[in-house]
Amino acid sequence: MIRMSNVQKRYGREFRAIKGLSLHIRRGEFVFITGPSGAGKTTLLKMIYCEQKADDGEILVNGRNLSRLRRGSIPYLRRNIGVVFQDFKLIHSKSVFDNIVFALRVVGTPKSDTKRRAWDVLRRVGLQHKINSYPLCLSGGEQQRVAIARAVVNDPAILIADEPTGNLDAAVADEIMSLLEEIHVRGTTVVVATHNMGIVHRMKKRVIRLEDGKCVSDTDAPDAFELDEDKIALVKPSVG
Amino acid sequence: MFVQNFSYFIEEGFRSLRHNRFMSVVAIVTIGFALMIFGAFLIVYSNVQQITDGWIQEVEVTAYLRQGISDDAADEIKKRLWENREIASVAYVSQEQALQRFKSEHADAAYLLEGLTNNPLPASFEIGLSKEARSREAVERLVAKLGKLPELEGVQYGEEWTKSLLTFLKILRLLGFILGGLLGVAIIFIIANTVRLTVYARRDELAVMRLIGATNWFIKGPFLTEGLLQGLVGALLSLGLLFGMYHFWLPRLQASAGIFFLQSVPLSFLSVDMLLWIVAAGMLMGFFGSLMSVGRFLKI
Ligand SMILES: Nc1ncnc2c1ncn2[C@@H]1O[C@H](COP(=O)(O)OP(=O)(O)O)[C@@H](O)[C@H]1O
Ligand SMILES: [Mg+2]
Repeated sequence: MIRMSNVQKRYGREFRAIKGLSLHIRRGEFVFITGPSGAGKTTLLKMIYCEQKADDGEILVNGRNLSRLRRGSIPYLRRNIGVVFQDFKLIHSKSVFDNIVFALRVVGTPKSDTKRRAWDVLRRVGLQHKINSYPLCLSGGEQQRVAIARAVVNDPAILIADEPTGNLDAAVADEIMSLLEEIHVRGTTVVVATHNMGIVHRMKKRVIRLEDGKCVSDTDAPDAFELDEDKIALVKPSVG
Repeated sequence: MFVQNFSYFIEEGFRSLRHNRFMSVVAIVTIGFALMIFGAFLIVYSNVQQITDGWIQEVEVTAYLRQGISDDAADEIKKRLWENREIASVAYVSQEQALQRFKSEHADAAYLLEGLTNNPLPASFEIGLSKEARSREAVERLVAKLGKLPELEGVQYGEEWTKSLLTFLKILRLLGFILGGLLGVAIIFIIANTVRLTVYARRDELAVMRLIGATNWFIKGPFLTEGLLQGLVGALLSLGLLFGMYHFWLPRLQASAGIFFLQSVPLSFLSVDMLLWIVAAGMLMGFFGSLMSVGRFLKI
C-alpha cells in the first residue's frame, strides 16, 4: 500500500529532515510512527499525501509512483487518503453536518447521497446528537471525532493521523484510538504518528521509530510473538 | 467540472460578495464609474463617427490634372479611373470648360481674367462615388490611391472640416485605446485586490479543501464567479449611469443656451452591440482579475 525506498527530504539547501528512509506498509495494516519531536514524522506523512515532495528516492502509494504524479492528479490521490491532525482543521463557519457534507461535495458526490452518508458517518463516530453544533462549541475529543468522520466519509484506502491525540487528555485519547482501531478493522490501512508512548504500548501494533530522519527500529505487533512462535524469526528490528 | 458545479460556484460567489460586503461595494462602484467613463467616451466616438458617415454620403471627389496634359491623355486616365469599383461616374472638365464655368459663376469679376494670356485654371475630373464607396474608409482609400497617380496634381474632397473631423476621429480612436487600456488594467487590479482579500480570509478553508482532494478548478470556481459577478454588476451599474446621464442630464445641457452645436445634431445612445460588449468586458476583466490572485495563492 505504501512503499518508500531510500527517500530523502531537504528543507532549504542544507537541512535534511529525512535521510534515506525505506519502509513498506501493507494493505490493511495499523502502524505507529514514533520518535522524538523533530524526528521527521510529520514530514514522512506529508510526503505520503503529497503535501511535500521527496527530493530523492521513490514513494509508491496505492500502486502510484508519487515522483511521476502530475500535479493535476494529486487531488484524486488524496481522495484515497483521509488525513487527521492534532488541531482538527475543521471549518469553523460550517456546522458539524456541513463540514462532512462539504467533504462529500468537494469530491463530486451526488447531492442526493450526501445527507444520508454524512448522517451515517457521524453516527459511526458517535456524534449523531451534535450534527447541528458548530466546531468551536464542541470539546476537543468531539472535534477530533468530526475530523475523523470527515477523513473517512469518502471511504479512503488509507487513513493518516498526525498526533491525533496531541491536544486531548488521556481518557479521550484512548477513545479516539479505539475509533481508529474500529476503522482499521473495517479494512482501512491506518498510519498514526505520535510521540505518546503510553498509547503505543497499549495498542500493541507495529511500531516504526524515527530518529533524526532515519528509521531506528521497526517492530511488528507484539501479539505476533505470543500467537505464533514461528514468526519470531521474521521479526527483525532493522537498524539505520 | 466547471459546469457540473456551477450552482455551487454561484452560491459561493454570492456568499463571498455578502461576506465581503464593503470591499465588494467599493469594487463594484469603482468598476461602474470606470466603465461609465469608457462608455461616455464610446458615445462621443460613435456619434462623431455617425456624423462623418452622414457627410461622407454627399462627398464628391475632384482630382486636378497637371498642366500640359493633352485631352487625349486625359481620356486615357479617365478610362483607367473607370476601372475602379469605387467610382460610379467620372466627368472630365477641361481647362477651357473650367474657365467658362468660372466666368459664368463670377460674371462681376471677369476683369480678373482680362490681363491673362494663358488659362490658369487646371483641368479636372469630377468623380462620383459608387454606393459601396460611401464610407469613411473607402473614401480615404480612394483618395490615397488617386494621390499616387503622377498625372494628378491634387485631390480634393468634401469640405475642409470633413477632413479635420476624420483626423479628429483618428485621434479619438487612439485616445480610446489608451483610455480603455488604462481603465482595463485598473479594473483588473481592483478585482484582483478584493478577491485576494476573500482568498486570504478563507485560507484555512482552502487548505482543508486541498487536503480532502478538491481539484484546483473546484477551489478556484467560487472566486472566479465572485470576480465575474463583480465585473457584471459593475458593468450594469455603468450602463445605468450612462443611460441616466444621457436621458436626464444631456437634454438639460442641450437646452441651456451655450451649446448650440449639440442642439443641431441628432445624437444617439450606444447600440445594443456596444452595450453587450461593455457587459462582456466587465465580466471578462472580473474573471481575469480573480484568476490572477487565486492562481498565485494556489501554487503548491
Ligand atoms: N516546512 C519546513 N521548513 C523547514 N524545516 C522544517 C519544515 N517542516 C519541518 N521542518 C524541520 O524538519 C524536521 C522534522 O520535522 P517534522 O517532520 O515536523 O518532525 P516531527 O513531526 O517528528 O516533530 C524538524 O527539525 C523541523 O524543524
Ligand atoms: Mg509532527
